[in-house]
Formats: sequence, structure tokens, C-alpha cells
Amino acid sequence: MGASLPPKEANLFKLIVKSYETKQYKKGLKAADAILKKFPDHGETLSMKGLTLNCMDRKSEAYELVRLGLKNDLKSHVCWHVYGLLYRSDREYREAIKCYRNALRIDPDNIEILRDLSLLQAQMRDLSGFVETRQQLLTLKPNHRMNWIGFAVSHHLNSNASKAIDILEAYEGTLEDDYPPDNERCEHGEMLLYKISLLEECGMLEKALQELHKKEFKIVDKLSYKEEEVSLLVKLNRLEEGEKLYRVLLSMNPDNYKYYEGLQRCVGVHSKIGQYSSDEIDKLDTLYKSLAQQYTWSSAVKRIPLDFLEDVKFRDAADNYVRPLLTKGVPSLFSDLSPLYDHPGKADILEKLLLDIEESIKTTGGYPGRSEKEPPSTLLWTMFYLAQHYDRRGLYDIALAKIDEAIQHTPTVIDLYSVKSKILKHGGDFAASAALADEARCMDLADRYVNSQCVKRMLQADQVPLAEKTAVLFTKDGDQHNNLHDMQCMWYELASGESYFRQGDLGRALKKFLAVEKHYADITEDQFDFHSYCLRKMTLRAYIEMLRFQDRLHAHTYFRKAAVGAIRCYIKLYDSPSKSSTEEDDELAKLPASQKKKLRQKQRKAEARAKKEAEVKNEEANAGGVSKSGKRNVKPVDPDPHGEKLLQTEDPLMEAGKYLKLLQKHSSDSLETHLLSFEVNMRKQKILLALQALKQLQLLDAGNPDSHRCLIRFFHKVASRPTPSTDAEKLISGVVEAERPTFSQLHDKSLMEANNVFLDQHKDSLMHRAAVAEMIYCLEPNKKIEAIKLIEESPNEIVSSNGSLGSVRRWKLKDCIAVHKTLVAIFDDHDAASRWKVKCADYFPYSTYFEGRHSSTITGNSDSNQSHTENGSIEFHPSNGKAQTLNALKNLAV
Amino acid sequence: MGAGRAVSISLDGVRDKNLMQLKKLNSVLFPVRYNDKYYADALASGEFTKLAYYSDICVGSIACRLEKKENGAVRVYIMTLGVLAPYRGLGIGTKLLNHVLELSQKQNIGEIYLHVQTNNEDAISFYKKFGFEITETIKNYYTNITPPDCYVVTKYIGQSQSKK
Repeated sequence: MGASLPPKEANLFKLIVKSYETKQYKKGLKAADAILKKFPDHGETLSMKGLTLNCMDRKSEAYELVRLGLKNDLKSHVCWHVYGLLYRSDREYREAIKCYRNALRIDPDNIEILRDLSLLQAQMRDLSGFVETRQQLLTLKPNHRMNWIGFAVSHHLNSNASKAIDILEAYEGTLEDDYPPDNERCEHGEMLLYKISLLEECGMLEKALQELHKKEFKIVDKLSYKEEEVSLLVKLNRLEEGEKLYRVLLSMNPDNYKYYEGLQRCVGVHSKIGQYSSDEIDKLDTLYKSLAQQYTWSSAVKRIPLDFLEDVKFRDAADNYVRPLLTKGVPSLFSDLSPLYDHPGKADILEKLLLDIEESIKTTGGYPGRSEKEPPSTLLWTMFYLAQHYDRRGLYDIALAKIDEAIQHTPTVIDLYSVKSKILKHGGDFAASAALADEARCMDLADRYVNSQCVKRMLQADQVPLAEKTAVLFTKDGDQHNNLHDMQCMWYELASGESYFRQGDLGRALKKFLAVEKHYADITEDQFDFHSYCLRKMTLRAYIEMLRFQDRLHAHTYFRKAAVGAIRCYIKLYDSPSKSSTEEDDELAKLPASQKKKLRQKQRKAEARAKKEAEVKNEEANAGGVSKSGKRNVKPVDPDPHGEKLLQTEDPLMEAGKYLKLLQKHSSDSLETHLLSFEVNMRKQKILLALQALKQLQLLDAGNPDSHRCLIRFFHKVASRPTPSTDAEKLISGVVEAERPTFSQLHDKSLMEANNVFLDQHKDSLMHRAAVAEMIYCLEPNKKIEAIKLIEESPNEIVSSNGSLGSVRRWKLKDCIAVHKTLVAIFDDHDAASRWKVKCADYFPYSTYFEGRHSSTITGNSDSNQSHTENGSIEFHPSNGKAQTLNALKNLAV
Repeated sequence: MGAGRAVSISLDGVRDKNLMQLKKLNSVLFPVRYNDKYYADALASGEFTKLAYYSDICVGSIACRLEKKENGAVRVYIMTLGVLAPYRGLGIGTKLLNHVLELSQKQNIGEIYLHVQTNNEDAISFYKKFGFEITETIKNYYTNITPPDCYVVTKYIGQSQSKK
């Protein structure tokens, strides 16, 4: 390095490198300038100066200098290495790899460059390259532990686990017998466990178990040792030993569900879907009864039997389970039991059980069959449970009555308000739900959870500015809104994006969705540091798990939601490019004049408010900027805070395609992925890609109404295309012709016939009928009336009845809203839409969308100030009963 | 739960973060809507205002105001004391009042007083148990409830000490 320089300058050059490593950039810069004074064209110095400037936030100068340096000295590995480092710092890994490769061509044995390259290859999953680089590193420095391990890991990642084992064993061969020394015991133990997990992965179970036993005394992590041992024993079908070991593990942690599952497997009663014969149930019952005696403090041992027991036994076990928890006051009891509701019989038993308890406590003060009095809070928690129970069953009236009773009993319990808010949400009254959540929030301003829940409800009610203000209460002060982004608060960004989307503000919606996408890119990025760290620290099992997790990262729900949201935005943008608010006008047109006026006024007010806020914010920012101008951590201002620039994209479908690709790669099992792919490709006129999406849809769920819609629409569209003229077009229609018979629904049938068959198959389902109706209208627009009739005549029979308490009908609120939107947007029939609305208002009395009679739009009850009266607790009865005890005190001061 | 039935009762201070709990309690316990001054006084009284928790549920409160007399001595005025109906008879009110009495004693405060509506016999006998006495009757103290008259109920503690 710096070899071509005279000694004085060569020393200066060393100083630059050292200054860079120790982050004394100013010093480095001075030294560089000193050299450049004498040798203005010295390539390596120019490069290093550029690299130094890069760290001082002078990016453009940095690139200029580094490129100039390289140009002046193409044969220098330093220049290439620096260029690679520069790209790496900008996350341009592919470019960086190229640069490193060039550097290595000049200096093939440069350990530093090889190491940097290997990290990039691991990051980019260039696995064969990774193996090669690690091999070179090992050959150059075989006495380094890390090089052995790195080589083994690279083979493992490159799907050659057995080779990895060989390498690790060769490495062990280089060690002394008394290895490891005391300070290396953990690392060595980890390496051994990693090797054994590799043996297991390769199916060499016997050998893995032998190795495990042989190295027992060298393995520090005793729990992992036992878990690995038991896993091997079970795989080897040595169930008796497995059972013993699982019992040992249970005595260490009797609340680990996996151990119970394993134990069941060993004693031969295990079913993945939780279905057992009555013999098996008896056997399990005895097993868990004996375990419960052993592990009295375990809650798992009491909870698990509720999953497999049935009828009377279930009733008794549930009774025993809930009583102490109701007495103690465990607010999460309902969520604990809610999986049991998938089993309708159990839901009925639980209902009866809890009602009996409520009745008994109300009349005798104690549980059924007990003379002991319960504390007053037991009744409260029982009513709290029942409210959630009825909510779950869709009986919102009763649920609300119960929760109000509970609130009247003890108005200070925050969970009551949260649950009431949830019930109203399910009933379709988002405004009232948000108001209740806000009431809950106000009762404990230090509780982040109730705060977040409130924010979520506000966003559901499309109160974005209010939600933002509330969310910011828990961010670092001064840093305000951006802080939520920095903390990767994705649920907030998603909910906010969805709200903007509903309100037609595509720019802001896109902004939020893309922010989430950015977080995932950051998470991918975050693994970089671990490639070197984990090898050094020997946390190999965790490292591999982390890499596997990263490989599936984009399959995560939040990413899917964000990508779906973004694609929807782009599709909408494509369909109505001039950002014309036609849809909004449509919505407006439906409303009566008085409401229209109100809505407009509201909008105007909101706009004015937003404007004012923005001004205030700007001023604050400016004021802050002045006072803090001395500090250098001024964050770059987002040039497009409202996503207006995003809206100006030339080709929204191409943008959508980017996210679609990720969905197709990582969420190919989701119907929605292919639905969106169909929509995008139909718009792009990519017939074959649309066909591919269609085939996927049919494969995943041919009975889905949306899959059916796509099928009919596709072949209808294809049929209406002009006769193919070019070769490419002929080829396409040839493929479509050849593929058509693979859709069994279309065998010897016209589209209309296929549509009718689909109707026959799903006669009772509202959403299927709506799809069929839409397709009738699409195929033969003159049959509009018939189509609408098909929807209106959908049966809405009672699914479950609760006697006098009420009953649940088949239609879901969400579906009915979708049907209403179809009537407006597709059929453009406002009479039918308003008929539908009146009908649904009756079925969904809490829905604000349909303006049901109990919804806050009608009762005007969404104000949190007024909800007190709703709680029915403010009235006072001065004639406090004489039977009341002494503490019934009211001393007043005015 | 058998033997484990004894439920713990604990007291906690009132802060701006949980002030709403006190407001909720008052809204059901008393026919009066208290103004901001009430809450400011309660917060200012520090340890003299407490919420009572019955196994982590807020069920009662005592709210006091510290008043300076002309001679510079401080006296405690109990603005409100109340427990939610289902949780009465469990010693919670006693615990709240005892807390204030003990605190007053520790801080050498000689006088604690409050107003009680004249017909509220339960309250009067409750306070008498703790050594309070009726010291005054004020006619037409209340404006919108009957009877409108109230007693002033006072307890003097450690008089000999404080006069030393």
C-alpha cells in the first residue's frame, strides 16, 4: 500500500489508513491533502480521501474521488477494495462484490478482502461463491478456528450438510485432548451441538445420539442437550426412554406445551388435529390427572385437557379451570379459552357453565354448590367473560348489555371499556368503538397498550389526525411522528395506510405501505453484522436459524399486507389516473342533500384544521432549526411527506409489479396474491400471465367467489378480443384455446352455463350469489334486473339460535358491505343499493355504514363525553339503602 | 381457592396519569360533578389523597385538601371518601380513613374535618367510631339536595402535643 510513494509520504499514507480505522477522519483528510499536494494524481491516496469523505457525509465528492483514484491506478487492489467498501456502505452489494473480485485478481491472497467478500456473499446468498471464498480463507490461515467454522457453515448453507460435518470433524482432529480451556467451553459446546444438529439433519440419528452421549461433559447448555437427546430418541422410536426424558424436562418446566406434546407422542396418544377416540381420551385423562398431581403449579397441565375432553368431563374440567381464575381476576381468561369456540358443542357448554356461575353468585354470593362467599370482583369477571362470549357468538345486543352491567358494577376497570369498544367494532360502529377506546386510554395515561389500542380504533374509524396525535403521546418528545417510523411501528403504518386508502388519499396511503416495505428491507439489511459476529461467537445454531428466518422474511403477514395495500393503490391509480375523486362523488351522490352538506362542511373544516396544523408544525420546525442549528444531527427532511410524488409515477402497473413479484415468490399460497396478479396482468393485457394467475386461483380454491369471477371474466375477455393478427397474438390465443379444456367447469359449457352451475353449487351463500350475479351482468348486461334479484333473494337464515336471547344469521357485515358497494359501483343501481341498505340496517343495528338504529350516526353517541350516560352509571340514588354497611359514606363538599 | 381467599387491599397515590380513576369513582359515588379545583387540591395534597385497590381493582378513594389556618397551622379537610357499592363492608373505607389519620399524626396536624349531610346517619356514626364529633351545623349548605343542611364533623388529634 502506498508503495509507489517516497518514505515520508508512505508514512502519511499509513496514517490515513489508521485514521480511517480509528474514525479520526479530519486527521486522515489532512494527511491525504499533504500527499496530494506533492502527488496530485496518486490513485490510492485519492481513493482513501474519497472513502474518508464518505464517512463525513460528503457522498458525491466521495464517489468522484474514488473513481478518479481508480482511474489513475487501475492495477491497485487498494483502489478496488475502497471502491467496494464505498458500494457496500450504500448497500449496493452486487457492485461491491464485483469490486472485491477485481481487487482479488490483483492480490489473490489478501485476507481482509477475502473476508469482506465472504460476508457479502453470505448476505447475498451467493452460496457457491461463499464456499469458494471460505475455502480460500481456510487454506491461507488454517490455524484460525473461525476459518474452519466458516468453511463448514458455508457448505451447510450450500445444502451440503455432510461435507460440513466432515469439516467440523477435521477441525476437531486438530484440537488437543484437553480442549477446550475454561474460557472457551461455551463456544466449543455450541459447536458440538451444531455438529449434532447437522448429523440429525442428515438422518444419521444413531451417530448423532452416540456423539451427543460421548461429548456430554463438553456440552455446557444442558437444556439443549436434553432437548436434542429427546428429539433423537423419538426419531429413533426409542419411546420409553423418550418418555422418561420428557418427564425430566417437564419437572424442569411444567408449562412448556412442547414437552406435553412430546410425552403424548411417546405414550402413543397424539394427534396433530386433536381428534381422539374415546379410549384415547380416557387414557389422556388419566395421564393428565396424574401429571396435575405432580405439577400443581402448572397452568398448562390444567388447560390442555380442555382441548381433548368432551361433554360432561369437559364441563367439569372447565368448571374447575375457570373458578380460581374468575376469583383471582384474570382478564385474559376469555382469550385463553377462545380456541375452544371452534368446537360448537364446547361453546354451548361454556355458556351454560358461566351463566350458572353468574346466577349462583348473584343469588347466593358463592359458586354453585359452595357455601363459601366469593369476593365481589368474581361477579365482575364472570360478567366480563360472558360479554366476550356473546361477542364471539355474534350476539352483540346481549354482549353490550352484559358489559354495561359489569361497568355499572365496577366502573374503574379499564378492560371493561376495551372490551366494550371491541364489541362495538364487531357490530360495525367504528366511531363509538374509538370513543370507548379513548375512554379506556384516559383511565391510565401511562399504559402504552391501551394507548395503542385506542390509536388502532381511531384509525379504523378514519380519524387519522386524532390517531396520530394520540400515538405521538408515547414517542420520544420532540421527535414526534417520525419516531414511529424509526421504531418500525408497522401495525400503525398499515392501519394508517388502510385508512388513507379508504378515504381515497392514495398518496398518503402509498407512503405508509411503502414505509413498511422499507422496514423489511432494513430487516434484511440488519443480518449483515451477524455474518461475522456469529462465527466469532460460535452461536451457530442461532445463526442458521436467523438466516432461514431471513429467507422467509417477506412471507410475513405485515409485509403481505403492505404489498397488497401498495398494489391496490397502484391499481386504483391506474384506473383513475387524474386522481379524480369520482368515487367520492359517487358516495356523496347517494346521500341526501342535508347530509351531503354536512359532510362537505366537515371536510372543509378538516382541511382547514390540517392546514393550520401543518403551519404550526412548520413554524415549530423552523424555530427548532434555528435554535438547534449548531447541532449536526439534523435529520434530512422528507421531500415528499404526503406521497404526492408517488402519485405522479408514469407507470403504476410497473410499480405494482415490483411488489407483486415479492408476493408471488413468498406468498404463493395466498389467494390474494393471485387475485392481484390477475388484476394487474389483465390491465397490462398480459393474457398469459393472467391465465397463470387464474390457474393458481383454481388450484388453491376453485369454489371461491373471486376465483369464479376471474375465470368468467378471463374467458369473456379473451372471447371479445379481435381476431389475432400478429404471430405473437396467434400464439397467445393458441395457448388459451389449448388451456381452456383444463378448466373442468368449462367442459362443453358456455360461460353462462358454467356460471349457473356455480350458482347451483353455492345457492345459499350470499357472496357466491353476488359473484354469479355480477358475472350475469358482465356476460349479458341486459339481464341486470335478474342479476340484482338474485342478490336480493339470497337467503339469510338463522345459523344458531339462543332461544329468547337472540339468534345469529348467516350474513356477515363485511360481506353485506361488499355487496352494497357492488350494487353501487358495478350495477350502478342506487335504488337497489338503498333497498339493500335498509334491509341490512335492520340486520346490523350497530353498523354505521348501514346507519343501523343503534349506530352512533343515528344516536349521536360517538362523543366520549356522552358515553357516560350510555354507561348508565352517573345517576345517583340518594336514598342509599339502610341495609348498606357503614362504609356507604357520602360526605359532600362543594 | 380455600385458604387463599384473603384478598389484598392496597393504597396508591393519585397522579395526573391515573386521575381519571378518581373521576370515574366520583361520578358514580356522588351526585355532584366536581370542578377542576377539587382535582387540583386533591393532587396538591399528595399523600393525603389515595385510591384503594381491591386485588388490583380500583374501588375506593379518599380525597383531601390541606388548608392553612390563620395562625399558620395546617388542617386537613376531607373532600370525599367513598367505596363502590359491591366492595363495601370489607374494611376499605376504614383503611383509607386510618391512612389519613395516621399521616396527620405523623405530620403533627391537629385538626381533620369534613361536611356531612344531616340525614346521613351511617356516615355520622362511622366517623364517630374514629373519634370525630359534630362541631357545627350549617344551614342551607347544599343547593340542590334535601335536606340542604350539613354538619361539620371534626377530629382533633394529639392536641397536647401540638400545643407544646
